[in-house]
Amino acid sequence: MSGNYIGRVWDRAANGAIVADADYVVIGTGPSGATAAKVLTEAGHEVAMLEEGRWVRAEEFDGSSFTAQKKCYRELGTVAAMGKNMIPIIQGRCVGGGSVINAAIIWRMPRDVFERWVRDFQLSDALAWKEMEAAFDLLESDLNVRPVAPEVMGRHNALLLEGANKLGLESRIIPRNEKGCQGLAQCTSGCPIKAKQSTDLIYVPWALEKGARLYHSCRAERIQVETGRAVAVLARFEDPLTGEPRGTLTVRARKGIVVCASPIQTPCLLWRSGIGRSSGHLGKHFTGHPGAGLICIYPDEVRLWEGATQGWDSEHFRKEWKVKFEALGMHPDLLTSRIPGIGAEFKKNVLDAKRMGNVGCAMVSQAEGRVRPMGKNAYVSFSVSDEDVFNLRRGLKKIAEIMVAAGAESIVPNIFGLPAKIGKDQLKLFDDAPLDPQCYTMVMTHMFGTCRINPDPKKGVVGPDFQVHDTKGVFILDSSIFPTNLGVNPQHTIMAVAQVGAKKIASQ
Amino acid sequence: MKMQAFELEWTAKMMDAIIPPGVENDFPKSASDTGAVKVLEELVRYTPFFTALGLRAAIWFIEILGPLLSGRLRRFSKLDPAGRVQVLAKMYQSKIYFIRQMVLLVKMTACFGWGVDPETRRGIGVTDPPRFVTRSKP
Repeated sequence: MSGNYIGRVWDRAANGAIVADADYVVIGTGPSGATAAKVLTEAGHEVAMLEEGRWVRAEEFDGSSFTAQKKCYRELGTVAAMGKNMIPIIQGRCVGGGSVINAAIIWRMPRDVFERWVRDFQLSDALAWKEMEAAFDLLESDLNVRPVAPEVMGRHNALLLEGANKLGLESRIIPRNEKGCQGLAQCTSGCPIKAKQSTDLIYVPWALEKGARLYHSCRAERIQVETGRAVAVLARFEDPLTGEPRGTLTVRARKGIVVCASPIQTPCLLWRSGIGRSSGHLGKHFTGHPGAGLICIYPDEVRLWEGATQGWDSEHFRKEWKVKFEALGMHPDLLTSRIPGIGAEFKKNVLDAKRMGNVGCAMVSQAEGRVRPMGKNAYVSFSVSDEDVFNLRRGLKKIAEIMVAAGAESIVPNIFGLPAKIGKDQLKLFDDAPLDPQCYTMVMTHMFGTCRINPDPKKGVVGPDFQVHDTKGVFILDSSIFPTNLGVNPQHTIMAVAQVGAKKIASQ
Repeated sequence: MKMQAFELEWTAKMMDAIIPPGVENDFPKSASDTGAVKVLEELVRYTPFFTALGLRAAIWFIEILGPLLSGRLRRFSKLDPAGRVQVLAKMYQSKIYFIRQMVLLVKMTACFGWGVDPETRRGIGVTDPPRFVTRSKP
């Protein structure tokens, strides 16, 4: 935390209750919420930001994944989608949200996805490509987006670029929102040197400096509606880790409430408030980019914990196979949990850790799930489709081929039914890997849907003005309004949509 | 939700079966020699009720029923160290998804603690302070 925001930042109600008002109340300070707060504040509106998690200082990040999970991850990283298999869902819960714990990957929204949105979901009134491009330009300037510099590329990223080039596959050095990255490979456990330009360091302070207020460690419980219009947010201060209560907050919204709480929390808040249910789509159409990883062993040291956490990726197969590949560096606490074996066998395998490489295969899932509130939390039901698993399997095989082209001697597939380690000449074994999702260790990092946008109130929760169809004064700007997943890392698109949407809201 | 002392002792034995002391000179410490047990204890303490319940249930399942899957009639914590490794190795390779997941869960939490221990990191080859470049901010 930097800057002098005395009198504008609260994490508790000293006298038990705070009652306040603002033109707009923005719920969530991740990529969408922070962008919305910045745009609305710049337009001259009085903005109150609410954030369920803490404002975590960079000095608190010690490189341990579990430390970051306690401070910045929702439910300490234990949120999971339940279906044919259990898929952990990685969500930030802190000022800055997911931008604090992602790897700063920047992708402009693929044009073909945008065109599909306009064509299949009638979004021409909500979004124009020129507006999106202008938003991307501005964001790239504000967030200092640039490709990974050679000195922090890290060997694991460089080798994969080499391997993909040898196979003639399109891939790239990742452009990231960073300033002064030193290649610590700690993006997912919080950047300790403030190099990653996450929204807690950029747009939240901007908004505060221009007069906005921030209530953090403060969970929005309900939106109060009077005669069909949202008028206030009822919230509760509590320690995000222990749940210790610290008072209540009521913020009356003179002009509107902008919900940016994520595709899991946004529909739950609306559900609890009796908002958005008339469409029949609230909480439905949940989708994302579930994925699985592959480890390889090179003949020489690679040191996954040195260099940019994620410096190489490939969307070569995004359209055809509906998969995307990305390198993922990590420190021993995460890496060792992926190393096979129990007991002495495990420890022997760990001896190879410094020669290991790691790549994730993210699926552009064709499946849809559902989100419903469960007490203070949410229940997410989601199962990958048969087609998803087929795509994952062939994606993993292709990654193995890239690794071998980059010089890998063996592959650790982490697929139940395949040997723990396979040689570089045995990649055809992937063709016989089971197509049961329970045989793969998956994780989901990008979520979409659940409050989808559509001009027809029978087909979507939110209209082209980003306002909930059945309740005036409630706007949604996070990726819960996305009608499909993207196939690429979504932060940039989320921020661009929030930028475009917030401008429309601000001008009303 | 708070774990009981005996549950923490069971957990330590499970984690030490996964990451035993010694074996390789580079890694003398076992999981419980590091902060691994505390990771699971804190997960149970701070996660929502049903998640915490699931985590505890996994520990109870391994303790009571795990050995039965290998045809052993003693509780997990009463087995000798080699027997514990055999039980977990068998569960790790079980055809039943949820049995595999239970071992994976304990292994992941063990690694979160063991993998951040300075001695483990040195053994793996992580330099401290890290070998990163010095680059001024633009």
